[in-house]
Amino acid sequence: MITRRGAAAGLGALMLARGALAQEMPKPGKRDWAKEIPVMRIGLLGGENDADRLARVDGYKKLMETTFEVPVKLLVAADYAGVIQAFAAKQLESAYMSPAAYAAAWLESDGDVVPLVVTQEQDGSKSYVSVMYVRADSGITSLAEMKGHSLAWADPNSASGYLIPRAEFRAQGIDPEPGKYFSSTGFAGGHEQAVVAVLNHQYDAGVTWTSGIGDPAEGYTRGNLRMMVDKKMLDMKDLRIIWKSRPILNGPLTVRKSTPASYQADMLAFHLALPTAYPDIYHTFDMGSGKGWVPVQHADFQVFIDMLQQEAAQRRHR
Amino acid sequence: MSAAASLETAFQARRRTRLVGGLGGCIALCAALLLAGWVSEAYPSSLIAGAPRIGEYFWKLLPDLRPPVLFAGTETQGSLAYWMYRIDIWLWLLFETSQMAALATLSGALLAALLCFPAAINLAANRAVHFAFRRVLELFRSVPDIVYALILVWTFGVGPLAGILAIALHTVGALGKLFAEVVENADMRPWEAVRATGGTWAHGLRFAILPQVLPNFLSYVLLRFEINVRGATVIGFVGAGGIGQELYSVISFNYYQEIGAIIVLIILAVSLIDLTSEKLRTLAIGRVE
Amino acid sequence: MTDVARIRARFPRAFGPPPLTRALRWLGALLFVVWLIALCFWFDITPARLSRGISGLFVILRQMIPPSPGAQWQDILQGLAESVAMALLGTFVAAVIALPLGFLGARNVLVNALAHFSIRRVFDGFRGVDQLIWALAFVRAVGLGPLAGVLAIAAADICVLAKLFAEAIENADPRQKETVEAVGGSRLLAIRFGLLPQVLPVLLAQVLYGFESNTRSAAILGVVGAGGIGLQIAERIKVRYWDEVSFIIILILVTVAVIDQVSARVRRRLIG
Repeated sequence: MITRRGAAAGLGALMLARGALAQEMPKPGKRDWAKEIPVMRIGLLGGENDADRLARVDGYKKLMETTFEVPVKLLVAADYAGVIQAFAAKQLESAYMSPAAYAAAWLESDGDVVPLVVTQEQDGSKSYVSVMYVRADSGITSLAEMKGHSLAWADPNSASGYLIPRAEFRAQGIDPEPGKYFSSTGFAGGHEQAVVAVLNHQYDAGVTWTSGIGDPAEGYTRGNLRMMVDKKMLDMKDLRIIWKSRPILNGPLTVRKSTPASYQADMLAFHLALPTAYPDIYHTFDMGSGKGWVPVQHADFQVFIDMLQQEAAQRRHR
Repeated sequence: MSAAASLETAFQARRRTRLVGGLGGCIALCAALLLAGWVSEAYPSSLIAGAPRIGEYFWKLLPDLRPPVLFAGTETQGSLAYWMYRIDIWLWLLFETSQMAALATLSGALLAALLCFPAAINLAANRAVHFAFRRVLELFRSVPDIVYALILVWTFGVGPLAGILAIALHTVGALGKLFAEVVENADMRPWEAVRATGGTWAHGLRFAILPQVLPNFLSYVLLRFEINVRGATVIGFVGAGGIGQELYSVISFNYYQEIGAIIVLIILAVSLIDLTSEKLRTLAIGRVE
Repeated sequence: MTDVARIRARFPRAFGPPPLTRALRWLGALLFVVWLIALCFWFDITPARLSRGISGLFVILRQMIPPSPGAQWQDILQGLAESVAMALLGTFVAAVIALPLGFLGARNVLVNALAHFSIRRVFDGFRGVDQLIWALAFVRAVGLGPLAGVLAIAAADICVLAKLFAEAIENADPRQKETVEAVGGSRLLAIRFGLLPQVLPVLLAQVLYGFESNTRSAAILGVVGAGGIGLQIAERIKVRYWDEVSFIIILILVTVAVIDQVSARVRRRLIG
């Protein structure tokens, strides 16, 4: 909420000078849609400390402020559920979400969200995978051996940490409800917390997201495991990966559909041009080795909406 | 005559100062409220914009009950069974929650009972001891149980144990303060009698103080249990077990009917516990006579 | 027969409870111990787990000292200001709405027994809903931020204050009202001069106490996104910046103590 306009303007001018070569970047200046959107509210997830998050988002936020001459407000939610409800309450303009959270937001807001772009990885793919990990010393080497053990979910609105594993287990004939195949299941309170819970012997296994490419010993190229390794919270020697899911489409940068079309077009252009126009800001914001952003359609996420509705229906059959 | 007149003027003068003081206080209050409104972003515009959504949200929580099929089976939409289809899980979780609250209240009360006597000025060895113990109890009391739970979940893990310990820690402070006040209000004559006949501090405690304070202690413990049951219902929000975890999940999933069902069950359970506790409390206090 | 035996024969109860009561007490104690053991099994409370947890707790406690505000201390101060503001506004709104409700719920104002009973049960019912639950619901309704917290505090407090108000009104001395009516005052005047002066000090005390208590609970509403310092605490706990956590806790303690003092002084001036 601290908009240091003077510094932002100076910084912005410097960056604009550098980025003068990128034609696709929207020209700086106040837009018509600024009348309807006097403040751009961006939803962010908690789970990093404030200093890290601010450092990560600061350049991005300032660039947006200087480009569109509209103040940007960051709203922090503890989990996806808060972001989803904020969209439904028309309290957010945009947020970066998991595909399952996008689907839930679409259902909750009666279709008032539209996906703009997803991250494209270095190898060109647009997806990640969910992996199941156990402690290396637990003696469990496969999903078959997980029978009768406990499993930690990450977040109710996470594709990799809840929805996709459940759908895939069901397809294999495994009932993911506690007491059926797994002795017990529970929510650990987040992706990081799930890993910590498994390391602390509270659960035998957990599911989380990774890129699936690269060296497992380093936590792969992207993902929660990689982030934890980088933060020195995790040594991959302590974990073993025993299961991988099918590829999951990356989560979209989502905007509220009830915003003016010109706003959505501006956002699209801004994000498509950002990686090439301001690579430093992009890489700091992206936190990983993504190559850039590519546009997506709502239809790409229909499968997640179907999965959510199936989950809700399944719930009644116990 | 002049006495009446001077009384009248004195009355008017006092009235004026009181009115001015009252007006000043009102202005200060209004200023504070406006400031508070600004800081907490409680703008009338957002309230008006949000009001229909509030109504909409609570409307969605109401169950879809249709009188013709009210007593039909779990498969029929509109029946009570359809609405409360997970009632076995929920009732079990509510039972678990009440037991968590019971264990937490008990352990907290025990520790509080131990700490309250040094904290009471009439029993403490000296002023420094009294001060120290009172401050320690205050410390325990001032931290909300959710904050304890947030921290304890990290060390003791996800589950009811963290919740029980969190509520117990807060209870030590809350009950300790009340216990100490009861002890301070106790009649000291039996105490002096016991000490005069050669009894130790412990003897005095056991035979002179305890019989007086126990009924009040019991009453406060039961009152605290009521409050702790409420606390235990939500401590699951941070992963510390009980029905709170289930409630948090269904709120995250936006399963509105289930949210409504769980809230109704919580209200019923808490009301039942409140009524029982009230009966027990009148029994406990009644025993003094 | 010796003296003791004679006294014992005449006053058996002075020497201790009869065997039946003693047996029942032993049975009760046994059941109690069985219950405790059952709970320990149920909640997985083992000595190993407890010792592991306590040692982990000491590690955390060591990291909590010395407390430090950290780099984002402005956020902490803002969070604290939000919590206090939420508590003030929420308690005030609750008091304003609870006052007429309290009158409705009082036996000496609303004489119909059935209406009185049902209204009081409604108060009791909603009292069972914890503030956090209201907060989550309001966050869903009006979005993240302190407004949801204000509404949550108000909603939870209305029920509590209404019940306390109703009880205070019921416990008021009826003679003062009767006196006013006896000298020809209307019903309204009777309430204004016969009831209010008795009841107002009690009401004010309850409201002030509510404000102090709500400041403490406003600190936690942030955990679910309803504004205030709770979110700051939860985030720092998530990333294990324990020294900042202890700093925030101390700050909360100090704030609550200050408000406690202020409210005690206000109470003394208005009532004493």
